[in-house]
Amino acid sequence: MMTCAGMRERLQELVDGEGQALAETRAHVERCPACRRDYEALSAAASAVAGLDAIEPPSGFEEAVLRRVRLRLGLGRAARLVACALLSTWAAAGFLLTSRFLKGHAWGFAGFLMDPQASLPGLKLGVLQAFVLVRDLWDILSTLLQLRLGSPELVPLHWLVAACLAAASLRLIRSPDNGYRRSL
Amino acid sequence: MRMPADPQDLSAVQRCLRGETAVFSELLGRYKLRVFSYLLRVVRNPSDAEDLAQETFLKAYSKLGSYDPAHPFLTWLFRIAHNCAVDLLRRRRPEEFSLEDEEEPLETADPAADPERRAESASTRESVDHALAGLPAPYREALILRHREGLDYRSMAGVLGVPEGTVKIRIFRGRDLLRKRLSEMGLAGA
Repeated sequence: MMTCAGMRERLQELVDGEGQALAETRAHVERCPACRRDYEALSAAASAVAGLDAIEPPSGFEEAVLRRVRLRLGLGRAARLVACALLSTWAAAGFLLTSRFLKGHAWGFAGFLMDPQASLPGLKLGVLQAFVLVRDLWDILSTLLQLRLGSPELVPLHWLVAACLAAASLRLIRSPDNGYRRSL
Repeated sequence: MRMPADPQDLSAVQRCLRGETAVFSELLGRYKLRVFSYLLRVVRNPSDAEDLAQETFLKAYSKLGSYDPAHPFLTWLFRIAHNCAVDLLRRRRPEEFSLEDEEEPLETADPAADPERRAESASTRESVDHALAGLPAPYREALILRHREGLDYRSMAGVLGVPEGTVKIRIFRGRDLLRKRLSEMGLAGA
């Protein structure tokens, strides 16, 4: 049989209807006037909180939230546009650098076969350009990672393709000079 | 027992995620009252409660993609609201979120101490609200979530980010303190 000792927690569990041996606790409460008084007071406190009124937010609350949501949406779109513009620029720069490097290497390799001594400075320049290229490509990669390229919503692929095509067109119109050609 | 999301809420969330942002106003209209009431009773300042409620819905909108439909949408909202409220209270009133003084509830003007004020008290509910406001914030919050919002221990543990055992302790101690305060105010049978 349950005693009043240690009933404090049991009474609380009975008020919540969650816990162990609720039936035993209820039976004890029915028998014991002191525990019944405690239980009733705790139940009254619980009922008092349950009976509290809901409180209306100030007028214009809903409109204010929706306005802020719309503002955030607008900022999100603007951020996406800026990210696309940035990525396009980087992609174009990457394309130009890579094509320039590859072309330079082709000339340098041909020159090295014909006259190894004369094209040595060009090859040194090639090594330097390779470092620069790796660094620049890393910059591009890290930027893409930072801007979460993985999210198709953020950076649509067609933007990158368009940027690469634009860079290729520029490359055809303007054929940049390089050290290898001069060394030949 | 953990309840899954309401189908209407789930549908609204999915439509929002598909880009129908106007549907968010449905969720806002459905839950603004409960979120605002909860926050007002936790922070006890209408202006702060309004700011926090706005912040709660804004965060909810931004994080809709991470909402888990295995839980009710309101429970998820309460979790966000709780975090917003805790941030504010820790920043402005760190002593209020401490339980070091758990046996000594914060001092507030007590209508029972002044017969004139007691007579002026508009209703029992106002007095209960007043008694509740005198409890330390973690107890107050636990009682509101448990009795006003009807959350079970497990959901409350999710909202408050504490173990179920802690939730029980807060409810038990909070209820005990509230019972004493109501008794002092002559509202034991409220």
